[in-house]
Amino acid sequence: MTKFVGKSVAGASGNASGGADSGEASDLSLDGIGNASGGAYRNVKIDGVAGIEGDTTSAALRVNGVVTFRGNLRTGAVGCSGKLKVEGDLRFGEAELDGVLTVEGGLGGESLRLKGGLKVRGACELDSLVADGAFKVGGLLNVGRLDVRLRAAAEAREIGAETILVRRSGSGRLRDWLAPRLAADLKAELIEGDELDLEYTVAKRVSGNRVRLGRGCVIGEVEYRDELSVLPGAKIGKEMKLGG
Amino acid sequence: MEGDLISKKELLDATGISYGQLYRWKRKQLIPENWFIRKSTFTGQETFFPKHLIMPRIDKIMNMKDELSLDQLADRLSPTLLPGYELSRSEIVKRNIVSHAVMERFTGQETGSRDYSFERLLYLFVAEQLLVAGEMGTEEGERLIATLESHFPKFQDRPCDLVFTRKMGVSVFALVSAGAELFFEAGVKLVARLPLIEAIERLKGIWERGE
Repeated sequence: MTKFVGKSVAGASGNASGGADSGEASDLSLDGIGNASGGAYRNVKIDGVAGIEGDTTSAALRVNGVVTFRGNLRTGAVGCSGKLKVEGDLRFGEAELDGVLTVEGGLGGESLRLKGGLKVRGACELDSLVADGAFKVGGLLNVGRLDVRLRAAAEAREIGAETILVRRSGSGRLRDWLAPRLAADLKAELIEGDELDLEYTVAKRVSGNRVRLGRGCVIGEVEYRDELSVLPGAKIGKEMKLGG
Repeated sequence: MEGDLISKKELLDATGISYGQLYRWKRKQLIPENWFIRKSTFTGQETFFPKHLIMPRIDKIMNMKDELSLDQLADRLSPTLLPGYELSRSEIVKRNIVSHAVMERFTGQETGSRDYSFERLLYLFVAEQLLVAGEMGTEEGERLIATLESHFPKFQDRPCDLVFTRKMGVSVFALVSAGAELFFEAGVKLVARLPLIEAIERLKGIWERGE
């Protein structure tokens, strides 16, 4: 069992606002298994299994292992390999994740590149979300660009975006025959955006400027302003061209 | 009519903006979360907006987005005041934010070269507007400023409107949540209803231009 080594944190008391007042924030480096206090840090680097108590802010975060932030987390660049859980809201700049990210509050950030799973209980706002895996967003998924290669079921209550591309991960037909991924669909009640290119998407309503619905799509109603292509393998209930 | 709502679809049709733009502006907080009103209609869940708030806002964004970045635009349009900014009396008059006469009348008794915070400046700015428009007298101006001083901070960052009424020569000032519907008894004249968020935004614009 690796020894828990934690740098002592000046002034940490479990709430983030206190930390930074007395000059520069320190780094937090954890190696092993244990807990630490939240607070204001510069670089946070965790290798192992850790629980961080209280709200935390940091310039950057690097996680290798299984980490739970018991509070809100606000950080800049994120690199994570493993499981990261935030029990409050999560705000970051650019994030790269290989594993599972769970957020019990809301998620907001610039970009997230994900290989694995994302679960957000509240709303999720990102300028860019590129995912190879799956996600579950309880509220509105508001993204500039969404690029998802599905490996398992994904869902969001509503998706609003500039561009959306949805495909199943892997090379398609042969792979499906060998190990059919019946559930690897994207489900949403409503999907709205400018350029929508969807496959394996199940939605009550899809609305966009240029919409392409491919194999595996089951859409109740599609509205389009400029262009609509419905390819073989897509099932549409109703289609409507919007004027103006 | 203040209570009017416009559906998301009608909004896109009327303004020519796209879903992508609407969602992006929402992410950048150019359109506040609480302006998105979800209602159940016979077609399902639909989103609506307060027409009197969203239309001018979209207009403003379209006009300003070429000169300002979205983040700058968000700062300009947010109801938050500019903290930590202070101007001296001479600066205020020199930049024509508030006229010398108004400064004299309402702050004349304050001696020394004290600096004025954005908030205080806002009150004077609003008073000046009403005075210049001939809608208010100077005695009323004092009560206006007192009302703003007492009650404006209670709204924190939530937008509010200044309501100025008169009945039988007696004037009354009130602050009310932006867009709230108000109905008065007979004989009350609504002299002015000023969304303070517009005054804040104009003041920020003037303030920044001089920077």
